[in-house]
Amino acid sequence: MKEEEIPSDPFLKEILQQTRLKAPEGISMHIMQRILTVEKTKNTIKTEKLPGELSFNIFPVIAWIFFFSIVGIFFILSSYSDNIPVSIVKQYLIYILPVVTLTTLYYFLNELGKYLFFKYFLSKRV
Amino acid sequence: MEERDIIALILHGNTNAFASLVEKYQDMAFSIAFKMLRNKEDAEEVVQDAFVKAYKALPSFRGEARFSTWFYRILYHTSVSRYQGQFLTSLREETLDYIDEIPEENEELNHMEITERTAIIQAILRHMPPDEELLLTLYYLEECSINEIVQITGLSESNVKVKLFRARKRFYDLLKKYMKNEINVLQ
Repeated sequence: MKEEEIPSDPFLKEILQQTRLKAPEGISMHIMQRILTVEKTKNTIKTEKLPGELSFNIFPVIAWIFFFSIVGIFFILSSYSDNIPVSIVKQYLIYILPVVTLTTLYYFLNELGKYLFFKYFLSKRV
Repeated sequence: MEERDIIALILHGNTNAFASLVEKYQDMAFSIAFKMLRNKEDAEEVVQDAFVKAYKALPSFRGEARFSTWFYRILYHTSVSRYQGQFLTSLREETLDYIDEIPEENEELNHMEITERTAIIQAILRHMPPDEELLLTLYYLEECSINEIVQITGLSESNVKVKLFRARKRFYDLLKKYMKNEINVLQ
């Protein structure tokens, strides 16, 4: 059966037109309210981390930048002045480098642990 | 403003632009949902759900089909899942029992008042299976092509054509039967 075989029917169209319903009053307002709620929820999700979502933590990055800035400043100062010997820089590196490294490692493993916990353990229970 | 531009606006963060699409399609959406569910409250809820779903899925709208086709498809599936497809099989066999004649004319209907005509048509449509009523609405009222109806309902092309043909025949059969009864009552 081809499409042309289904006859056009102005009479049927006209009488169906008469039974066309109008949407209830205020339905568009309800729809827009629900859509605005969807938008609000979307924005909240964007700012709040969901459980099981890997997040980027800025603190280790700041720590590393701070650490290298200090190292840089020491090197620059030591090249201009003999009052700041290179040994101080070495000592700084020896004591501070492990602290920054361990802090970064702590943040990284903490995030990874939470991610794996939610993904492979909690999701199976749910 | 064209629909494509409105959709672009919405996708660029202008949520309020969606209101114009709601205004444009809410009546037809309600008509379709009501024809499928035959309940005002359910239809209203389904229309709201369908619009929210459409809004959420708008980034995936590729613009290959008309927005109306894409939206009616969402609406159709939302309505179907509301009653888990029951309406598709809810053929009212009693209406088939007295379909034995092919209608010739509808002259009597032309002479009636509009309100009376509407009441009769609504009574007839209530006796038709919801899926057939829906197909008539999409094809004759919304002027969807067969291909668009295929996309909306997920039925095969031949199935849509057969159902449409049958629906139209059933409508006229019921109309003729109804008019005969009315005339008999008046006599």
